[in-house]
Amino acid sequence: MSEPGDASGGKALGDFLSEAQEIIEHLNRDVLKLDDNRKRGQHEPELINNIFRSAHSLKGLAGMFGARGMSDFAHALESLLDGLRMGRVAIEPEVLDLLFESVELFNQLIVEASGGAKVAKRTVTGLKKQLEKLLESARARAEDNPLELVELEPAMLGVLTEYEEYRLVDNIRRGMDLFRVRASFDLMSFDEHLAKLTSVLKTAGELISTLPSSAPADDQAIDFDLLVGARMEPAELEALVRPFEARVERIPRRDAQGRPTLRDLPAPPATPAPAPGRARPAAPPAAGGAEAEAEGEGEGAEQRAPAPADLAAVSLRSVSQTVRVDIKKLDSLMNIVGEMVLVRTAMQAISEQLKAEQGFSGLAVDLFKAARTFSRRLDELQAGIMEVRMVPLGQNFEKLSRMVRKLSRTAGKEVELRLSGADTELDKLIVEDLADPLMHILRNALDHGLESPAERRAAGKSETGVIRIDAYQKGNHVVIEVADDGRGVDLDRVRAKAMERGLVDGERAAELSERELLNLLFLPGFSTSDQVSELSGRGVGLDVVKTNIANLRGMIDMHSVPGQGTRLLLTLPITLAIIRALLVRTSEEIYAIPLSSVIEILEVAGQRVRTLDRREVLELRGTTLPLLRLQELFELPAAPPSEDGQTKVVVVGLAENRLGIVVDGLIGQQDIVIKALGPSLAQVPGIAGATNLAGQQTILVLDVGSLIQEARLGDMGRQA
Amino acid sequence: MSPADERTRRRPGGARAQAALETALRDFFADPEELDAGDLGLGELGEARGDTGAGVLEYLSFRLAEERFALPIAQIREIIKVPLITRVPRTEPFVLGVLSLRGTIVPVVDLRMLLRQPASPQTRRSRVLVYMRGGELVGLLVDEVHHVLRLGEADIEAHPFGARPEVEPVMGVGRKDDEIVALLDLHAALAADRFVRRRQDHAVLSPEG
Repeated sequence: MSEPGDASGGKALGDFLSEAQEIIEHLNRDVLKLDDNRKRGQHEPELINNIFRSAHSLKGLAGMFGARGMSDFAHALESLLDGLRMGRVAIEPEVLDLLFESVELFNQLIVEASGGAKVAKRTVTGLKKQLEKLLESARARAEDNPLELVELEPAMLGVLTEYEEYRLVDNIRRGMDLFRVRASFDLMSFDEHLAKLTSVLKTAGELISTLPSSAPADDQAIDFDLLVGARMEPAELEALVRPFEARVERIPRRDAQGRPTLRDLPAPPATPAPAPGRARPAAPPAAGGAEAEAEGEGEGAEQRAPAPADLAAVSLRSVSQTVRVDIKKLDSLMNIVGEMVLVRTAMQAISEQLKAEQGFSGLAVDLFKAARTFSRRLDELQAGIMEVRMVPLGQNFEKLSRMVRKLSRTAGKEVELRLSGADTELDKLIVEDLADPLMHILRNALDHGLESPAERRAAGKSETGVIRIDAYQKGNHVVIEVADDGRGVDLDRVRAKAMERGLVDGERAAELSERELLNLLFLPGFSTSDQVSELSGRGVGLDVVKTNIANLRGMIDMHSVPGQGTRLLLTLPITLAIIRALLVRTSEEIYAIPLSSVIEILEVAGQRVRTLDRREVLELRGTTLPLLRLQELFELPAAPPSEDGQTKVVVVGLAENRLGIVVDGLIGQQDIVIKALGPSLAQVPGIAGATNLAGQQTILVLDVGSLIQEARLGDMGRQA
Repeated sequence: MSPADERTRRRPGGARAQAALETALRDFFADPEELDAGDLGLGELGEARGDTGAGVLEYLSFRLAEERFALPIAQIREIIKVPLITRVPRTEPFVLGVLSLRGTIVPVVDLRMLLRQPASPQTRRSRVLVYMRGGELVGLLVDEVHHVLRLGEADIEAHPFGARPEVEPVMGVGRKDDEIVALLDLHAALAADRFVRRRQDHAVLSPEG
């Protein structure tokens, strides 16, 4: 099955796509953070620089690969970001909207470049025009020059870089006091002292610029002028810099000539409102400094805007020390490991046989030892490859927050998305395949779960709805909880809908438990929503989610409290690649059951199996365990009843659901590499894949999640 | 040395090592009887073969019951003796199950049943053709493999009853030296959504059903 090697063109394209994707991921993360900062009134210059650099790198990269559309668009975005960086454009909601749309468009362009859906040219030019228009209007507004409001020598102003000038303007607009700190250091050791002074000043406020002094210095010393924006009395600052023998000079404001004073200066439309975080009147300098440091502002001032030469380097050099690998290559490695597991089994068998024939001496001992070492190394190799496949779930969270932001505005609802467990790791393939189901779930929560602000107020809730996503590991599984604090599921409506659809008759409908009613929501085409909205409510959604999760051998559970909200629990295996399995026999067939979902194995007397509502169940420690006979489900020839009259039951469970699978015999445990059945057979219900045993025998792996779901819904099916 | 040079220098070694490993694994496990390419000496046919230029295409002819059929050789990856086939429940009757082709799981179809030929047990001459449908491999059980036929345009006539690819995968008739074969186009008949049996209980549950 060795695939023909990629043509070099294909490889280059692949490299381009993956690198571009990486940049776009960064871009997305930074834009989200920018949005977050804006909401909290914080300002982080380095963040905008990062975003600018990403757009710049993307432009260069796209240019290099002849992706004209992408490169042109990145150019337009870069211009806008430069405006942001230089303070010509303010960070306002509509600017952020454009940035989010741009990220989205980049994603689409990447899909297009990789041979996917075409992006309409109109979309690209339309967004590009919007970017340009915004920049244009910002330019028109930038007439007013706040630099005239302070008495800064033209000599000093003249040497400031554009970026420093912007920071200066920003400080003036925020009503900061400006200070010039002049320090003189010994030539031999100035760098050390200057660094200390710099860090002290950063605790006081923002260090806007460090300039070698224009005043003459003596032979052995060098003078510096440091321009600082801070909100404190000159005496306070003086006290801070006293150890450095530096002089502090406040730069006077020109408010004597009837001009408005700085503090009354109305914020021009192009500036964000003064940041509450920065406008602390008399915070102790040390504490305030720590906070500024935490915001990353100190660093921002130090690194400053990259000079053009830096930018060129940024676009050519790879950003990180990581290697991007096609997941198929890992699959193929895993396949080899799987084959080696078979070699190991064979080696161990030979070793055993040798021992039996010749006793435990000589070659038999050597072989035994070699097999043992091989086995250990193989485990390590296996673990290593598994680790490489693992990625944090966080990459999905970023896409989701972007979506929620957009949808909440469409729906006219206030939503706060709280995320936890972003660093929970899952197999790359699972993380990829989770994106769509999670999106569906969030849409549902936003559309059906959360009420409008007015309804919420009437119900005595905060107008802002909360959707929480919590991810955590639980044994061999990862659990993802999605909870909203909305209205919950209206069970009576579900019941009415079920009767209307003819799924149950009135008598039976009244008996349906809450659990059974909620399960109905996962049936194809079942929706309680009367109107079709833009977000969801077309009756597609939950059944698709269920199918997607089942394909990942996962399980979905729903809980709902009227008036308080709905909670969905997704339980997923950590990996699909290699697992420990229990091999069982039914009729003449052998099946593997993932051990992670096996809870216990029972041997019970046949008469303990009862029939309840036409289904076989087993009374087990006070609970009723539904039973499923593989032989019946898979229509296998019946095997003769076991001699001891005992029924063997493998109890499996996922999340809170339990099911007893009746088998004819147990064979043992084994590590298996699950292989896909391929597109034709991927949808066989109850089968997750196949695996090879030694001796060219292939067996099927059971899909516990889908079997449990089937057992749960089977009852409903017979009622109809 | 530039990274690109290094990559090209290293790649063949890696591929060799991988090939060696695969060979080693194959030798270790494979029953030579099972994976032998058959009596024709075709071995792995590869994808590039088949087009000999001048509109002449190569076909592989084989027998199902008493009739002869042929498939373009470019669509056949290899020919193997019938290995152990694992039954897969809940599939259409023509799906025999899956086999493992050096680690890859491949569904196997009983071509006789698919083409509505009378059923009969496998024989010593039975073979599985590994057929390429898009990116997926599908095994086709046939009763006997004959040989490679080279057919030009003049040797092929359209289906005498008109081609209906969904119900009738025979797209034409090829003639060469007194031999008549039915030329197959299995693309539609083996579409990926035709393998799994529609579930009864689903039909009851879904509102459409």
